[in-house]
Amino acid sequence: MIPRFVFIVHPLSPVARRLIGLRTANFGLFSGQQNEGGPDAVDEVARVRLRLPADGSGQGSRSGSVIGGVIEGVIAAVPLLPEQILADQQSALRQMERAAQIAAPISFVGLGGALSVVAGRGTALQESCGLPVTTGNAATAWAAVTLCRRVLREPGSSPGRQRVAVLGTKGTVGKAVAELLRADGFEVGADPEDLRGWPVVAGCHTTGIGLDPDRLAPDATLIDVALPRTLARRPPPTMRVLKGESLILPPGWERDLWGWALHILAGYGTRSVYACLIEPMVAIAAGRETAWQQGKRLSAETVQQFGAAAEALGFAPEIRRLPG
Amino acid sequence: MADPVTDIVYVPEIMEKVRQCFADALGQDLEDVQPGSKVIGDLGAESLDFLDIAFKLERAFDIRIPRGGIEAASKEGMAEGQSYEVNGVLTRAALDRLAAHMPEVPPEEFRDGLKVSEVASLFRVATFYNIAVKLMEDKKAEAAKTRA
Repeated sequence: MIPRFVFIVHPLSPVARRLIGLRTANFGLFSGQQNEGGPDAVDEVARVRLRLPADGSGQGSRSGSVIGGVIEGVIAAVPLLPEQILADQQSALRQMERAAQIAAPISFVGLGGALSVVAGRGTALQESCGLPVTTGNAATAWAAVTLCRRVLREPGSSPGRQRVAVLGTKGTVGKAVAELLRADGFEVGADPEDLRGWPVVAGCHTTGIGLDPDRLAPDATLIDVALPRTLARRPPPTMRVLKGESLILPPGWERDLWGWALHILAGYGTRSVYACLIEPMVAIAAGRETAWQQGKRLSAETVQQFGAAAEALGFAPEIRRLPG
Repeated sequence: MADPVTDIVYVPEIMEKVRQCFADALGQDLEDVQPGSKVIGDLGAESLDFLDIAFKLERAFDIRIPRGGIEAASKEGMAEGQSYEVNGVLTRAALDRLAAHMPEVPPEEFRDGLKVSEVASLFRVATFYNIAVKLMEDKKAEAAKTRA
């Protein structure tokens, strides 16, 4: 049987919410007439597959069934907007449980967007469905660290400019990112007050902080993994703002028509994907039977393990500017 | 169980559960979570952690914690025409109402110039104990009313 996971997403706008019902011709949803809170409103929106490298990228106990094979991801959506998810976590949990049911049989669950921060950061869902649940933090931290390293080591970057300010170091991702970059020997500022002296800034807040671009050096590079985004307004053209969680797709990435639509509507672009989506996929390929992270704690070692497994599958963070 | 700073007495079984919720949500050792611990300053909570804390309390006590409940409760008791905040800074009337709703916070912390965005920095573990107790009492009263 093809190892499979479900990745649960939610719309960011009322218009996007109506599109969820398109694939299954759920016109009640599309017309907005169906009760948003009802469990039947959960729908599968797309499928993606990763054909693994034949030379053997899987590691661990289940690698034998995966090497040279395929891992399938069912993308399911709950029709709740972020504010609805945050306001009623119990309802969001019920809909996540339903999404896991409709995608069965699965061995992993991944949560996207606001779903990853509610209901005990996936722990309540893990208890109720008995499956490991990933929140995307290990993948996001790996992508951010890898991109920071690349930017800090760009040609022409003098040792004196190998300094990085990490914003959001109280959070799970920011803390791990700061720890890993410090271990690399870079000078790391943890949430410094004055950001103008830092040529590279990693925006790792778990929520946007509405930072004025004037508080950064005009020629700074901001690697942004915060959602909502770190900056409150458009940066000057001299400032480089990179989408920190964007990954280049490996050759083995396959998708159906709806998968193509997902790539475009979710803002990935046709050749990229956000790091959080691949977390359950990489876990299956690595033969894991537990999530990368439990609760708020994410160790630097886990991020490194995740990175090694993701790179073996051909995933790599890309230098991609955020549209101004 | 009494708070050594405010002398407020807590029901041990309820406070224990509240402390456990904080310890689980914030990845802290239970002994580091005390009724008077500042949730942000001492326990290192960030804004999203409050979601997790609220969820864990809701499940532990079978209650629903409304978002912005403390602010709403403070506004309820204000006289007509009184402002809650001016340009993001709490008025004296608002500070007095907040102080009345948060007896677990030492009164001197409700200082003039406090911003609305800084109110969360006053929250103690006991603040959430009080919210949970109040919501459980409300629920009990509602059930009694329905039975009657």
